[in-house]
Amino acid sequence: MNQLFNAGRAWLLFRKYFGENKKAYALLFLACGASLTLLMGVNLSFTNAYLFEETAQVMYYFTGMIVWGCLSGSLLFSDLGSKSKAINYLLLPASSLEKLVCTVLFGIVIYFIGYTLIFYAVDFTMVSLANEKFKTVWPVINVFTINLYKSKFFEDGQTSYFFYIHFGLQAFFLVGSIYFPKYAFFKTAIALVLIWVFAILYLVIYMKNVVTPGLYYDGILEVFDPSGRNKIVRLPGGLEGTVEFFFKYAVAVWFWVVAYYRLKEKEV
Amino acid sequence: MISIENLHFAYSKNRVFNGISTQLQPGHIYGILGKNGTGKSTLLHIISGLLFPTEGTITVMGFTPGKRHPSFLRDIFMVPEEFHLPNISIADYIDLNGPFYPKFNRQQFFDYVRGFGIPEHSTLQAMSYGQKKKVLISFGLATNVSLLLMDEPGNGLDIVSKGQLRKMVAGAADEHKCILISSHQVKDLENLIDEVLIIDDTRILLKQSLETIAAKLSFKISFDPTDLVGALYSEPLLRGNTVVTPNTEGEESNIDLEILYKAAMADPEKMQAIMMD
Repeated sequence: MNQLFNAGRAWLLFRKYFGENKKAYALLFLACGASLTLLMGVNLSFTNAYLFEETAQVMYYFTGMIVWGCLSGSLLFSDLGSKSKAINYLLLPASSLEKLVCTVLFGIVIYFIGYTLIFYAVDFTMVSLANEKFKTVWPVINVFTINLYKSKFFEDGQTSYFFYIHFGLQAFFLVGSIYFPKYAFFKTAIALVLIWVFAILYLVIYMKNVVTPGLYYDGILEVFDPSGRNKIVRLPGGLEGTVEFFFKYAVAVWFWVVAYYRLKEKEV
Repeated sequence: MISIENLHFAYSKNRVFNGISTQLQPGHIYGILGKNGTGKSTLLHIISGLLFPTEGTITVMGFTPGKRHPSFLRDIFMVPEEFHLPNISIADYIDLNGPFYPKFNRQQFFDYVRGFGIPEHSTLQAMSYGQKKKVLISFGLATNVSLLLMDEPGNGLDIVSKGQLRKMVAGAADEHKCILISSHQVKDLENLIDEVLIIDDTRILLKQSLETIAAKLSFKISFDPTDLVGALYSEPLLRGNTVVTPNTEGEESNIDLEILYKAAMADPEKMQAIMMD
């Protein structure tokens, strides 16, 4: 018998997970729908029709997805914080990989699909009401062509970066739910802020003394002299691509791998 | 079935086991006795793979428990002292959990549940602690795993249910299964276990079959004060004394587990000397 992954065993695990958690997921999606309805409903009461243009809808979509994704992500392994639940979970005859895949499937993939469907239902209704009220013709956004919409945070054609942020953050909160048995959400959020502060200090204090003073706006790893015109350092383009690939695709996977090993070595 | 060699374990600086070694075989029901905090539950957790030894080795059915391989987990079941059951019906619970255990017997499960007097169509969350524990014990017994670990199974059960539990566990035992029951309520294990394992002060104080204990120790109620001289342990009663003495005459007596435990705790060295004699 394969001790790492077995499709039959994984199916039993998915079945059990769904059977025991369907009410929790129903409540989660209900909460997502309620919060989106509240947010867009309040905006509907204002007189600004642009609160329903595509750019605004994109922001509602990602705000809800990231907030609820982080909240639910911090609960995915919360069972390990309770001794009785942890015993039940760890002794269930399935491998750590199957348990992680099951959690990722439901907590991340199904959450993503479910949230998107809920968003469409709420967005369609609210945009229709807004068009009716403001006599506008705003269309409902299409999340499959998200890069067509502009965003205030990224350059044109880069709106899909929000997806990378979402999956990376959710994976971080998933790891936090294993590391912190109690108050996982708050502790993970604090850890995230500390990492952010550390990264800023690293760039501002340490890197400032290491690299030549200049501007850093054109690409990740190009350094310009203070005039901004003369490029004095150009690191290999492949390195820039690697860094970009890491932050786009590998961060979430890396956190899942951390979660896997943490799960394997968990003791109760 | 279970082989423990020079096992050490500590919770940070609190040492629980200091190089214990023992073998546990199938076909036996072991009773693990010890004071609160001596490591009864810890031992069960190490055997099931929930805790990892800091030093030494443990193998259970050829597996290293800490790796928590599915092939290992499907052949053990633990009824922990603190347990959790989801908010679903009994039928859903066995439909979702039973298939993980290849030898799970649905009919057997419902027989146990009926034996405990639990309504079959109840929802788990609506049950009392004792009822939930009965469902979990029934499930554990019906899995027919080779290694069944029960941590304080009598806690939360009423007197009648404790009797039923003893009857069910005894009925479920066979020559292929090893059942380990930890308890600080010694009476819960009477007429059930056939081997006793007493843990105290980071070591195994006594591991012996009741048959051997009966051959080496004599338990009696004595009204003769001279019997107290040379007794391993004595305890005054309203009339007379309960006395444990070395069984030099080869007389048969019923083992009182509570008195045995107290005798072992009162003079561990003398008890070990008698058992090794």
